[in-house]
Amino acid sequence: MSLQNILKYKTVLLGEISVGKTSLISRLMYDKFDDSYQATIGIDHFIKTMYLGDTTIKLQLWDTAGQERFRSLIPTFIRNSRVAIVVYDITNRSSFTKVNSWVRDVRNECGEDIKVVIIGNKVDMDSSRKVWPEEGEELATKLNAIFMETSAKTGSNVQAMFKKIVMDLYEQKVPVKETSTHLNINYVTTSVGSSCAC
Amino acid sequence: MSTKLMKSNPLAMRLEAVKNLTVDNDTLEALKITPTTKPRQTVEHLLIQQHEIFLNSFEKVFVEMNEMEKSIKEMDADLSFIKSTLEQAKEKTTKVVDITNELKEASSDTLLKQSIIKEFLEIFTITKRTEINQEFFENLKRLQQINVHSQALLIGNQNIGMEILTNLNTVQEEQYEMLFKWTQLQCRTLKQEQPEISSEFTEAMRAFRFRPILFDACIDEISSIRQSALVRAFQNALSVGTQYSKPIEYYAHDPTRYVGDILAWIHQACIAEYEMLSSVFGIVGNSQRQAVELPQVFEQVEGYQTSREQVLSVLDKNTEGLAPMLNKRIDAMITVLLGSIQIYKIQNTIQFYHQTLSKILDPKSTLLTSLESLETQKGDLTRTTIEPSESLDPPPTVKETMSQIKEIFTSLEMNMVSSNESILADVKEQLLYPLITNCESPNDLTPLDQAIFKVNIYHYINNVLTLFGFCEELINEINTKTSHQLNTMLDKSGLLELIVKMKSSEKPYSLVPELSTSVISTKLAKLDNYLVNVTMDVSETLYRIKSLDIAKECVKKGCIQFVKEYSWLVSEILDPANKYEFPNSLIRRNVKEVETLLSLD
Ligand SMILES: Nc1nc2c(ncn2[C@@H]2O[C@H](COP(=O)(O)OP(=O)(O)OP(=O)(O)O)[C@@H](O)[C@H]2O)c(=O)[nH]1
Ligand SMILES: [Mg+2]
Repeated sequence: MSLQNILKYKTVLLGEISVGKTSLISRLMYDKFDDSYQATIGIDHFIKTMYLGDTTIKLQLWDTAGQERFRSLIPTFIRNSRVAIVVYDITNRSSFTKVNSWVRDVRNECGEDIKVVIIGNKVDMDSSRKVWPEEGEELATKLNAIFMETSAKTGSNVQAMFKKIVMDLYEQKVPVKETSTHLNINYVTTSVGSSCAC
Repeated sequence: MSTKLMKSNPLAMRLEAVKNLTVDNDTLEALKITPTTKPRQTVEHLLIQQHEIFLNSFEKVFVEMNEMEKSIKEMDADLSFIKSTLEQAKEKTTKVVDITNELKEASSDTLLKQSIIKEFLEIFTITKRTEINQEFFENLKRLQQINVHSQALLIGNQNIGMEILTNLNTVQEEQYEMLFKWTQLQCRTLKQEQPEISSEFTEAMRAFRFRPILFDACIDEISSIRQSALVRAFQNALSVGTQYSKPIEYYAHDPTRYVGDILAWIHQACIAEYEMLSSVFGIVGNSQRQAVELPQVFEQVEGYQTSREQVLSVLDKNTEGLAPMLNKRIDAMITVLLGSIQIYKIQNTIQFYHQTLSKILDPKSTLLTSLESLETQKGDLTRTTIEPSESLDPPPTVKETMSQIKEIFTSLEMNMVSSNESILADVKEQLLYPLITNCESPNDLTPLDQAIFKVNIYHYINNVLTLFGFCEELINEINTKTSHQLNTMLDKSGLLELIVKMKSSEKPYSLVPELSTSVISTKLAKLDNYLVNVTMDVSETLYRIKSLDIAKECVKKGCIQFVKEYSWLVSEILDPANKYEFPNSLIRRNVKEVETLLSLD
């Protein structure tokens, strides 16, 4: 293993309770999905290692809890991150309404230094959709964020979303190579799961 | 010619036949019949001639035969020579065959030996590597194997075994030394904040399992490097920050944020450190979410075990240096904040991280221990003195403290930490009770004013507590205190003094100077005066009770209490045992009248 070319990025996942933050991570890390809901307590920590050409990219993921009582912990993790993924549930209008204030919190802490990604999750439940993709798109443009719709359940767009984030970060860091768009990202996972349950 | 030949040789037999040839009479007659006159002579002559020829020929034959016999004899001799030769040869051949067989055996023996030797060499050839790579480690493993095999060899072939072992040890030591030096060099890369562990490094550490001294030396080296690396990193995080984040100390004016940031940094550092150590210890397959809850023994390297304790103790050592830094800062913050609400918010955060870090760190680790010591510091929040105001309003200190308590309880309601109990207890012990004690401490107020003052404070406290579901017990406590204050009427009326004295004296009371007939008489006369003005007096004095409900309650309860005590007093005065003279004349109002005066019906 070469010790050169290792890039590390801290990423924080934000969003209201039960929008699917933990599910997105578990889809990314283990390609698994669980229908039952287990609220995140405090903060969870994961490390996802990806290989981009000869560069190793480590995404340190902080999975925050949507529950109100843990709010006071979150700013610290926002501050330490390069990427903030704000998730809402497309079947839950109010989770979308809150995106604005999440992004505002992020910008308050980090200004424009942080890459913001807005994710409309649970697209597999299209029949109960309450938020249209156009609305998400529009909001993202307004907030200078990347927008995507995903489903942690079917896995749709999940890998693609993380891939896009990594590519963007990589291109920022290293001048764009001609081949960069053809680079294969291999997902190899190592992690230290830290369940900060109380 | 030998008889032997005559009998067996066909030629001899023919000759014999001819020799014995006889002409029978018929033939002779026939011959006589021959028309010629002298045929007989002719024939006889012919016959003689024939016989002569025959004889001559026979002689030749005989000679030949003799020759032949000679030859045959020679041949016979030759043959028996051949025969004996053959016999000799036969004997020799057997020997050759035997030898061949022996040789064959020897040859397969040799082949076997050869293959054994080949195998032996394959097993026991000691090789060195000069570069640290995958082959190096494979070779090192092989050397270790040779060691095991040589030990086995010692049983049968002590000399060879010893020789190999001696050689082997030298080479192994060389290789280990080389690896050790390499590892020491590699350790330098561990000076970074979050270093990466190469697979070679992991392999090296695995190899050192067979050299516990080297292993421990490496671990010590790693620990000391990591200790200072982490201290440096923490210092940077505190005072320098990163490209993307300001230093933590930049926010020192916001204690909650400051302490939260410090602990979050520590948390993160511990996780990264744990991840690094799992590479160092070669812990594989920790990709599961539950990885942090390590199995007791997760790897065995032929006899060497990596236990959770081992990793945790190294993790503890590596992070040890952070503890005093963190302690110093948070402690300073706590000292500054003693007596304020923020201390509770900070305690809450500390408690949260303490629980979180307990999942990663050894319970006895330096970090956890110092967090524990910080957790217990709540400080004395009640160094304030309470100055009653003219209005008998709850003073600002009370309002302030209660607003702190309110904040604490609000945060308790959305608490991050499961045990509210301890904080609730803390609040009682550290805030509420001292506050109440302070209220009850002596001041210049008249007893009644003091009572009203207390009631006002209790009322204020209760108003805050009723906002929270979990304060029932506290509320009851305060209520009890409130009602205790209500019997101040007794005091005001002057009866309290008498009752208290009676309850602490021996009967008969009339002999007690303070309870003499004349004293009782004067006091009761005064009481009458009080009772006449009581309604006015009550409303005048109790208007300063902030709660109308309480004021009413106060009057009501006070009156009931008053009547109760009064009737007890009356019964005592009337009791002959107390030897009051003309007791009935002392009592100007009977109980019923008092009740009426207090308009209790
Ligand atoms: N149908 C569907 N359900 C989903 C999807 N993602 C998550 N869920 C479900 O939504 C529930 C909540 O998911 P979580 O991932 O635990 O939500 P969270 O955002 O981590 O919640 P908190 O930890 O409380 O903040 C679970 O029951 C999931 O099974 C999705 O893409 N489709
Ligand atoms: Mg979650």
